[in-house]
Amino acid sequence: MATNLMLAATDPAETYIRFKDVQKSYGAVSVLNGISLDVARGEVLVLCGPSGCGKSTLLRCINGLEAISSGTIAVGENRVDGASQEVLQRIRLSTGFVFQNFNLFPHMTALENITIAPRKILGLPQREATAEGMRLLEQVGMAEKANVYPFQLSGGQRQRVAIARALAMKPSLMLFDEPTSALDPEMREEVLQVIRQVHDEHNMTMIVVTHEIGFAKNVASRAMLLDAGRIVEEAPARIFFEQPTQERTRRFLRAISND
Amino acid sequence: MDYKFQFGVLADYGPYLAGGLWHAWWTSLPSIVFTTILGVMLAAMGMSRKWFLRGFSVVFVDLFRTLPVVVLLIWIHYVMPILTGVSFSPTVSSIIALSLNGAALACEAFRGGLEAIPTTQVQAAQSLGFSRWQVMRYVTLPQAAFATLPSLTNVHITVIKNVTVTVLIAVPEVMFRAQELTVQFFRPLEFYTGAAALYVALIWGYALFMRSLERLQKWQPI
Repeated sequence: MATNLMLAATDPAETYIRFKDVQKSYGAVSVLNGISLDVARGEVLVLCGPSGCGKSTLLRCINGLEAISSGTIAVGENRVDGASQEVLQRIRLSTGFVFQNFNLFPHMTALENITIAPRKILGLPQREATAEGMRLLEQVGMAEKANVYPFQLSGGQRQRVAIARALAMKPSLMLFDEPTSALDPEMREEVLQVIRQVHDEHNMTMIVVTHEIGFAKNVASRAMLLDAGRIVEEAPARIFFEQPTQERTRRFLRAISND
Repeated sequence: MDYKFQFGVLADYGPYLAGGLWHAWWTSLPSIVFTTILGVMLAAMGMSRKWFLRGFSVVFVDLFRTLPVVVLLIWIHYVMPILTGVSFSPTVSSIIALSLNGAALACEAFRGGLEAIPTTQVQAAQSLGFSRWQVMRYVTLPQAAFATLPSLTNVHITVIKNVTVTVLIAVPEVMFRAQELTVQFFRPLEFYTGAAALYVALIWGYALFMRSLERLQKWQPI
């Protein structure tokens, strides 16, 4: 299938993230095989695909956690590939990343997890950072757990704190790497609810790797299927999930709706 | 075995012997502090991206881990002044030798602790925009500190034990005084047993203190 999909819907002036023929390989194993993709400002893009298809890698290339082998990635004005430390930091400051396994700092309370970056990176005074941290904890429904350490929180609670931690840096882009797949079904909804709310309140650009079809249909503007490091199909979210054109997509959607 | 114990000599000279603990402690404590600070710095250098910092760390650790403390001590106190014209008091020479040796051991302890921190912690911090130095300062080192405490305690105990070799350059600590008194009164058993008891008490007390630090950890790894 075509790999160079410039969506007509995206006005190039508004393009925020631009992938051009991105290749990524670990030694002989190639993970991304020529990804070209534009994401517009304010767009919510959902990435699906079987495990090992490269969707997490794609996300991690955007904030430079992984370096690409060839091609180019641009976030706003900044090129990610070959970026200097300063440019990479600028990209990371404007990009929030939420991990599958939360990755909270275990030696800090929920509140400290949220305030450490604004204090130490942006130089926010303790009092302001704490006020803002409490506001964010309230927003994700975790205010009463402010002074609790991560080991005392459930998975869903940890993930909500992790989202607040990312929001504390006031990013213009949020990347979610399977934010609910390490959670029990009941906790998934509380986390999805928070992500929905973040989208509603901040109208932020988001790329979400998830298999939550209901969530994707409601929130995403666009969805795509990645397989073996290529884009198999991409379409407006509703059409993607309801009338996929590729047999591979139909097979994948059947598989995930069975679990 | 017809040796007649006369622990009575300790009643008379025990306080003088125990006074050696003062010197033992003031040789140990600075050595322990330098050992720890240098050890952290060497471990951090060992993880640097700059090859010369990594190289320095490797050479330092291999050199001072393999050099016997007695050789190092004699070299610093008697040989270095010949080469450089700079000489130190016995206590200062001892602190330098024990710190260099201890730092090599502490570096290995910290390195183990740092390597035990999952890379996902580093990635989470980098994603927030922390620099490599800040990641270490705020995320990996504070976590590694607690994980390293038990092995760091062992390193500190080794440093305190090594204070006994400073008898060779006449630091007036417990062993030196035991030797002094033995020569005078021909009571090696009493005086050296007394010295043993004093060192055991010092090290045991120190180990208790370190264990109380371990209990300060309010969080658990996840």
